[in-house]
Amino acid sequence: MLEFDFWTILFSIINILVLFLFLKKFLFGRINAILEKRVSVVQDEMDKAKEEAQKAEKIRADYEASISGAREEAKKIIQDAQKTANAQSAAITQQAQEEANRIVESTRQELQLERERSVASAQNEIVSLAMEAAEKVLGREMADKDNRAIVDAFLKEEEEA
Amino acid sequence: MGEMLTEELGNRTVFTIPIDIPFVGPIKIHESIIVMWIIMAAIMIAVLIMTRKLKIVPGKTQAVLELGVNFVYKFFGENMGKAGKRYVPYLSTVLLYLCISNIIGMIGFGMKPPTKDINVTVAFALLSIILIEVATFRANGGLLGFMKSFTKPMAIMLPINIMEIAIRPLSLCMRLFGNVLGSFVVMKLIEQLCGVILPMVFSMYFDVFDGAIQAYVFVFLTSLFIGEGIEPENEKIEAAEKLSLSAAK
Repeated sequence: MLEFDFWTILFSIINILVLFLFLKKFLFGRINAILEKRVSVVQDEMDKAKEEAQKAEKIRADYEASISGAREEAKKIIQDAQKTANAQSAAITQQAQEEANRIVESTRQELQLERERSVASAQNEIVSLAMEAAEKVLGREMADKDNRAIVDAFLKEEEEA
Repeated sequence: MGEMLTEELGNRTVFTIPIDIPFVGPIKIHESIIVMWIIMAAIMIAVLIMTRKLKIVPGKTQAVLELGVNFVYKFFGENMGKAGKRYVPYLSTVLLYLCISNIIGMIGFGMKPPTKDINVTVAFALLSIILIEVATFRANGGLLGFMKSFTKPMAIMLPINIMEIAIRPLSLCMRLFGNVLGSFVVMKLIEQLCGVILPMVFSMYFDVFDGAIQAYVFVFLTSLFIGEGIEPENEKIEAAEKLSLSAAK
């Protein structure tokens, strides 16, 4: 049970060392190599992804800048158009107002003129009527011209009274 | 029954190569060596098959292998630190070898655990103490540092530290041998008592549990001793890391 044997110890040591070298090469060597490779692959992928993200970010910023530029331009165009339209409408309105004023004014003048004319003709008529009446009353012909002046003066007196 | 036990406990010589070598005699091949060869062959074939096609994206087998490798690195890393990384493959080999050796009795075909043979455990213990001392020697940077390491933590520990060179392998070898032999004897006795079912139950404890525990204890202690020996190197690495960290800041 406890007999020591040189050969068994020696062979055991050789066995252990052989198995160790075998496992070191074929198990640990291979597994560690693949693990390292995986680490490098993952690192590469992550670097690449970061780069792509940066690129995308830049494109987005460019796009946003261009969009905001376009928006500003559109705003400006709309503002310009509004200003022009406002100015035009104001001008048109003013013109129309002036035209209307002018028409109203001329109409009023015409009316005035007409009224004066009709008043004058009415006076004439009245004067004629009055003289006829007076002729008939007096039975004699009056000097038309003098009488007319007298009646006119009378009418004026009446008006003033 | 006693005779049978003695017969079972002895180390049978399977064959002898009749070359008389001075001092050590003819080459005798024990049964334990044959079983070791069988275990080795099985491990080698399994490893070759499993590591045949390794890919960046692992399959099931590869994932299990990677898990195992990561596990041993983590497990031994706790005892030995960063400087002990280079000793992990050897300790893992011993762990695997001892685990299978201790449990092989269950598999049958008349195979007995090779670790039941004290010569085998002597071989394991010898390699362990050589590894421990070599690692200590390396970590202390030469002969002077190595000799100084015997006076740590204080000078009065010198005789005890020197004795430990012999005590450590002796305890490693005897613990493993005693445990495996003990469970082997108990299992044989139980088999004598009752041939069916009963041995199966006890075998779960004496072969599987005790076998695995003893393999674990052996490599655990070895890594602990190595970790103790290479402490200066670990301290150096830590100091360097701290320096580079503060430099990076």
